[in-house]
Amino acid sequence: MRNIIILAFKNLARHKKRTIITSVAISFGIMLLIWIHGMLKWADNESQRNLKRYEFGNFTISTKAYKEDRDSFPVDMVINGSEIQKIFRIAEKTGSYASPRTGFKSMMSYKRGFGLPYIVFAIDPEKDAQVFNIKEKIMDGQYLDKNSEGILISAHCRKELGAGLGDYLVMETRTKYDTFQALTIKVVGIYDCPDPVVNRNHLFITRNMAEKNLQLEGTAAEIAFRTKNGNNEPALSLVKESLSSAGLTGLTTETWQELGSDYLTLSQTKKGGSTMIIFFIFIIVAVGIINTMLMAVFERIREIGMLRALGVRDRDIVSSFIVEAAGIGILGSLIGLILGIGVSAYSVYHGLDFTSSFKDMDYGYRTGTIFYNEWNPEMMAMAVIFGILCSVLVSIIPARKAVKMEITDSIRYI
Amino acid sequence: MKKCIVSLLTIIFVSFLAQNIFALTPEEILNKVDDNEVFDTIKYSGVMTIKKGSRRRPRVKTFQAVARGKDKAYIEFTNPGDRGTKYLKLGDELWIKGTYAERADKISGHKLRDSMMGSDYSYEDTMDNEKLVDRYKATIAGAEKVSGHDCYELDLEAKVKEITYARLKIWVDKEQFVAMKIQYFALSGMLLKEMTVDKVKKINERYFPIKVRMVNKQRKDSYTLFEMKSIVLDEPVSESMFSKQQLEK
Repeated sequence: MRNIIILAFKNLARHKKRTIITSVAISFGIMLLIWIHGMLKWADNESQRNLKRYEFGNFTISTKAYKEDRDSFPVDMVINGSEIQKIFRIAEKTGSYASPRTGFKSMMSYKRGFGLPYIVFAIDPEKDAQVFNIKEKIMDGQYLDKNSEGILISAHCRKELGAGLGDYLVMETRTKYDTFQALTIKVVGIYDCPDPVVNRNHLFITRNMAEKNLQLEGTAAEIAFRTKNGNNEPALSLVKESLSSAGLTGLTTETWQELGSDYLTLSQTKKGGSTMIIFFIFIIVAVGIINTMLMAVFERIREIGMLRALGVRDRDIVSSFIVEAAGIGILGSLIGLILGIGVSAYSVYHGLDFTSSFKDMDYGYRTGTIFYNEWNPEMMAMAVIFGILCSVLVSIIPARKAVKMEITDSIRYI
Repeated sequence: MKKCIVSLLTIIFVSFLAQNIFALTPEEILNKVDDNEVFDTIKYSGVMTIKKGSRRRPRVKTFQAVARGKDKAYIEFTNPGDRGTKYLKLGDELWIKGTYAERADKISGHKLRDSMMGSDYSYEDTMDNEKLVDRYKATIAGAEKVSGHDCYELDLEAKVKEITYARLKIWVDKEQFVAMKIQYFALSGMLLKEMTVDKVKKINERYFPIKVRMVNKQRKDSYTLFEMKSIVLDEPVSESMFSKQQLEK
C-alpha cells in the first residue's frame, strides 16, 4: 500500500500544472460552498431574528376575529381597554414585556402628490421600545414620545414620498366607525430597519394621537410580547393559562412562527435551493476530477500495461489512481477551505453590499441588502470531506477503465 | 307720511313672516333631495373617466349596473381590459369575479372602502343609496349659485356614529332639488373630495343627476367623471341579477 501511495503522489508531482489546475477547480467549488452556505445561514437566522425584533415579538395576543382577518388590519375587531389592563398584568406575572399596537391602512401623500398605501401602527412608544427594536434604528430626528403629534417614517417611505424630516404628510384613513379621517402630520423621525417588510410598509404614530383622531376608544388590535429569555416558552404557556383563568376566552395567541409562516415556508423552499447549489458544486468538482483522471489514464496506458506485465495487480493500479484523485481532492479542498474562511471572514465582519443589485426587489429574506456571513465550522468540515469524497468517487470509473484493456494492447497503445 | 311709514313696515313684516313661514326647513330640503335621488331600483350603462395626475392620460371604464335599494348591486365592466370583471354587493358583502377567474371571490367588508377600479369613488360610494336625512342633521348655511342654478347651501353633520363622511356641505338646486355640489369632509374637518353635477335629467317626474365629477382635493389633477346612460329607475329587477350564479355566469 505504501508503494501505491508513493506512486500516486509521484504521479501528482510529475504533472504539477495539471494537479494545480484541477485543485483550483475543486477549491473554487469548496470556497463557494462554504461562503454561500454561511451567507444563507446568516440570512435565514437574521430573518428569523428580524421577524421577532421588528414585526411580531415572540408572540401576540389578539381577538379571534382579528386573527381571521389580520391581513385587512381591521380596527373594529379589537381588544378593549379593560382586557388590555388584564393582559399587562399577565405580562408582568410572566416576566415579559408587552406592547399594544393597532395597525390601520392609510394613504400617505406629500404636497398633494400621489397617495401611497402604508400600514400605520399606533404604538405606546415606551412599551413598544421594550418589545421591538425600531427605536434603535432611528437615523434622523427622534423616536416618538408619548404625547408626540408627529409620525415616524421609514427611510424607504422618505424615498418614495420625497418627504423629509420636518415635512408635513397627509394621512388618509378610516376610524373605528369607518368614518373617513385625514390628518396633516409632521415627520418627527426617520428609521431604517433591516426588515424590508417593515421598512417598506410600516409607519408609526402614538396611541394617544390615534385615540384622539381615530375613535379607538382605548382599544388595541393586538398586544405583542417579548420574553426575557428570548424564547416563546415558558411564557407562552403561562400566558395561555392566565388568559383562560381570567376569562379572556375571546382572545387568542399566535407565535412569531405562526405569524411569519409565509416567510418560514419560503425559507424551507430556499433550503431546497441551497441543495441545488451543493449539487452544482459537485458537478464542478466531478467534471474537473473526471477530466484529469481520464487524461492520466489515457496518457499512461502503456505504463499501466507495463506494470501489469511485470505482475502488479489490477486492484493496486486502480487503488493508485484513486489515491491520486484523493490527493487532488485533499489539496483542492484545503485550498478551498482557506479561501472559504478568508471570504467568509470578510463577509462576517464587513458584509457584502447588494443594494444596487437588489434595490426594491423582494428577495424573500427579512434582511437588509448588506449580506453578512455566519461562521459554520460544521459546514466547513463537511465541505472538505465532501471535496475529497467527490474526488475519490468520480475517479473510480476512469481508474477501472485503465485495467480493462488487454495487456498486449496496452503496451502497443499509441 | 306716517301712513307711508306704517305701510312700509307692514310690507316688510309680512314679507319677513312669509319668508319664514313658507320657507323650507333643512330637513324638508334634504327630503326633497332624497325623493329625487334615492331609488328603489336602478339600471344604467355607466362610463367612468379616471384622471390621476397631470402626466397620465385619463382611463375610461364602461359598465352595466343594476341596483336595488341600498343592499343589492351588480356591476359588470364592458371596456377592453376589464371586460368580464363583475362585482356583486349583498349587504355588507362584496363578491368579485375577475375576467379570467372561474369562481367569484368574497372580499372582506373592509374592501368596500377601497377605491373602485382606481377611481375617486370607493365601492361603497358607488353603491350608496341611503337617505341623507336619516344620517345627517342639516342646517342652512346660506344661498349660492352653482353652475347657474340658485342653490341652498346646507351644512350636514353626521347624527350616527357609523358613517363614511362625518360632515358634508351640499348645495341644493332651489327648483329641482338636486344636490348640485357636495363637499366631503374628514372627521378632522379636512376637505377630501368635491362632487359637482354637470348634467341633470328628468326621469319619471324626478330630477336625477346623470353626469357628475368627483375631484379628489388631496391630489393634484385627480378626478373621476361618472356618467350614466340609458337609466331606468324604479322598474322591477329580477332577483336573479343579484345571485352568485349571475356573477359566475
